[in-house]
Amino acid sequence: MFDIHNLTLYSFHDNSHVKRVKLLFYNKLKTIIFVDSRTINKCQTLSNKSLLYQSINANSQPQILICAESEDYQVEFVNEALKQKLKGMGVFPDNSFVGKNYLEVAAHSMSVNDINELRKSFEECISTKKSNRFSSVTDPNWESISYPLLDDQGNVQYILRTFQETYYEQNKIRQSLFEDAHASIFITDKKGNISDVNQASSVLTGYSKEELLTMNLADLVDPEELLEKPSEIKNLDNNKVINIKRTSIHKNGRRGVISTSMSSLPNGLVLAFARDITAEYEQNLALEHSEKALQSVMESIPSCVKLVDKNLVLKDINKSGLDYVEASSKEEIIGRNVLGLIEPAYKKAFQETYDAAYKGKSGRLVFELTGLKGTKRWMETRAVSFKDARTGEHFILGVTQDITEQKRKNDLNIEVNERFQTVTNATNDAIWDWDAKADKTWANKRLLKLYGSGQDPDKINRETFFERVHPDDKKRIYDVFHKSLETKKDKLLSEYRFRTGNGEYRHFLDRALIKYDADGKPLRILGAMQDITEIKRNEEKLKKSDKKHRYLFHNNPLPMFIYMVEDLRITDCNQASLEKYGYTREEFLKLTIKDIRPPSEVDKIVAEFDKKIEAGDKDNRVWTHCKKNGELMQMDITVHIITHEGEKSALVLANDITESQKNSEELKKTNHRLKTSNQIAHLGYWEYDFETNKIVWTEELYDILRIGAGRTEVELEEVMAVVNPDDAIIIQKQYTEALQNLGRTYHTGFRITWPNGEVRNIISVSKALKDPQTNKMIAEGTFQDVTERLRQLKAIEKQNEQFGKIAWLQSHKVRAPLARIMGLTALLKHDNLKDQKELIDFIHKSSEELDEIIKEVVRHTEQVSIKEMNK
Amino acid sequence: MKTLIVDDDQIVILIQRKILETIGLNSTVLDFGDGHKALEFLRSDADAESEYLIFLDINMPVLDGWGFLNEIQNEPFSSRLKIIVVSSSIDPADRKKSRKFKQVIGYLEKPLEKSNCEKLLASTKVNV
Repeated sequence: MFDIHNLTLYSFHDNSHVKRVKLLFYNKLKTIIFVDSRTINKCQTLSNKSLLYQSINANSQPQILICAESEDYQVEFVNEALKQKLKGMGVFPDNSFVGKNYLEVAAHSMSVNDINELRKSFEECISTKKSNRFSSVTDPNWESISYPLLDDQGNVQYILRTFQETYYEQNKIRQSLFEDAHASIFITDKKGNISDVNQASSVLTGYSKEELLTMNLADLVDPEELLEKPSEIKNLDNNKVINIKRTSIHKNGRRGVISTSMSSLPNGLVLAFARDITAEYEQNLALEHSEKALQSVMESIPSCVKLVDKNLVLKDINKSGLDYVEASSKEEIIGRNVLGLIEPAYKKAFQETYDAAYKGKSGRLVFELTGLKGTKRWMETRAVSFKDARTGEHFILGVTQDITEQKRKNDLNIEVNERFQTVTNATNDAIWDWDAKADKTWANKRLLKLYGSGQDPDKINRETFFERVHPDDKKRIYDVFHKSLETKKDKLLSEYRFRTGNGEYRHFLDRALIKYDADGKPLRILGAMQDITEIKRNEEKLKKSDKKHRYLFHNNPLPMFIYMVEDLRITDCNQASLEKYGYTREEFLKLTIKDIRPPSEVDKIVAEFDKKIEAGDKDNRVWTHCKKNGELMQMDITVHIITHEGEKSALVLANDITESQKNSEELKKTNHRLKTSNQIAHLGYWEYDFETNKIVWTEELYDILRIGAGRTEVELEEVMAVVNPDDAIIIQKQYTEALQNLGRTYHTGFRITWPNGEVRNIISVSKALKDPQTNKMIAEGTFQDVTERLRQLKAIEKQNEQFGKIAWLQSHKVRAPLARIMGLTALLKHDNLKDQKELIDFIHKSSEELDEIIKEVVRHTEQVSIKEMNK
Repeated sequence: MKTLIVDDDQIVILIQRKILETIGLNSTVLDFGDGHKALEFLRSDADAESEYLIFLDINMPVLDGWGFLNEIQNEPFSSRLKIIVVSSSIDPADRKKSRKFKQVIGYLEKPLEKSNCEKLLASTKVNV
């Protein structure tokens, strides 16, 4: 039996192959020379499946070839031996087998257990790619062997099933051993006279048993050869076996080759086994011939065919191989290790591939080879195990091809493909490539993204596309698509809304190129979908904006008009312009912008327009304009230069600021007054932002606090640093309170210390609030330096104190003597004369006292005035 | 009822004694040169059940009229005192201040006049 891993197919140039292959099967030769698939293609004869059938047919064992590519195990071929057997059994005609499921057919004659075993055998054969056998459970007379036959990809393509009779009853074997022996058996005496023969002897010699029993062995061989090489039969000893090859002569005169094995029997007779080896002999001749043929094939094919041993030492190589390795003769290279020619990066893989091949697993490898003269080539090798039919020695047969050019093209192709992929992925367009025949679409990443993650990339086709197109666009796009194909247009341009993976419809402009086949049928359409949603939206915005701008122009409360830059002619205006300048529309549109200026300013305009004005330029300044009635106006003019249909025009927005300019002057004055009064009053305004911790203030605050010179902004901490620590606590407390009472005004007094050490008294009036514009928490207020005022107040207090003293003197001191005088004089009116003198003395005393007191009052008063004068 | 004149001015005391004499209070009038002396008298007076009418000056040495008024507030005899402040001060603040003391029944400006004094005593129902 042969092993598929050792299977090598012959290649032949003549028709002798059938015979050869028959021979191979007859002799259960394990090795058939294999030539790679390209070579097989050249040798057409072997690529014909029928040849394989014939080869199987030639085998005398019952065999069935089963197609193993599917689980159907369909019967491909039933060989003659099996047919004979079946006919003999009278069970199946030939046609009831071929083309049927073998397991089903076999089920008619096999038990369920055996069918299961058979299925297992097939499955094992397919998976292991190795032959296996099993014995029937229910009928021990046979065993089944399944052989895998591989295709050139190394997959099991066929299973060859062979039946083999295995069981004979011992007696039957013994009985038939002699009669039915395949070999011819002769029993002779020591002189070669035949005393018994079996049936095979008659087949071998052509003589009947009866005729043979009258003959001598010498009668059956070539007499001339016998003369040259006499029989050794008489020299036979016990236990000695003589093997001899002789040229036999058949009864019909045909010459053949027999192999005879002779031994001495215990009864003195000689037992000779003869076997017709004519076929083997012829096969050897054929083998020699086929080797020559193979050699010839090897030499002629353009691939490198080489034989290496398991150490990768080169044993043989064909001419093409010598060319690849740049050797001038076989002698130069044979005996060397081929690894030396392999580029280092591929040495390991090469070794592994060839090692595997040596162990029976054929392989393929692409590698880089450096010839003996340094030329580098890309090679593809296929390696299979090879057994020398004669010597039985194992080698590795390598068939290697130069694929440098092919690889260069492949690389180029890959590069082009990569470039295409890069370009399609780099673009923001969704690229699609529709294979019309297969109705399959390749999509770039962008398109896949548009479809969304739920879309199977293999199912992007016409249906899934139209399913995504907006219902309102579907019919139009469908019609455009089909009409373009009908009219054989090579370009397709369409605009539609497409539903993306997230359910949103987006606008796309789709440009496609269509290719047709020779029959005018669409072959391929390559398209690019450009997302124009934003453009569409902007167009819509523009439409709305244009409408809005027209409305704004005509209904603007400020005068607006347009004039041509070329000749300064007014071409359009709004109602406000007419009202402001006092013209009718007809009159106004006959004017140039020079007509609405006082004559003194016309030259200024002309000079201005001598400058180069570009579209998009913008100008804003105050000009003097005049009304129809000659009244002059100060106009704040904003001009935008726009280009429409190649002509430059200016859009003017005019704002009459005559009044506001007056107001502005007033405001300036007011501000000046306020500033002055603040300076005089030592009053400064501040605003504190709670978020940024910054205080913005008016410049007077520098004069008051003497920090942040030249700045309009300071940090809160800078202010707090100059505040008296005791007062800072009060401020801090008030700060917290103010936050809880927004809008409430707080009056606080505190002391600060100037850099020169002088202590100043400040009054703060402040409140916390939310800025109505920014909605931020702020505090605002004023600081006023009241140091001078406080000093004045203290002086007044002191003065009051003095005045109090004077008042007291008036009440208690001045009036006391006076009251006395008054009391005494009252008494004098009523008292008698004897006391009068005493009373008058009292009055005199009181008068002196009063005089003294008045003088004291005058002194006090003088003191107050002098102190105040001093301050 | 005993009458006390508290004043550091002997002329004033003379004048006031003469006025009180005319209205029938002379026999029981005692005078003191300052508030302290008057206070000591009141604390030591054996006749603890007596009521006192006091003509009190404000501006005095040692213990002035205001000091005297403050001192008597916690004295057991304070409820038996009827005090007329007699001052040369025409300052309304002094008049106002005197009203704060419950024992003060009137404020008279110097010089003490018979008519004013009689009118005050009558209106306050002081039995002379």
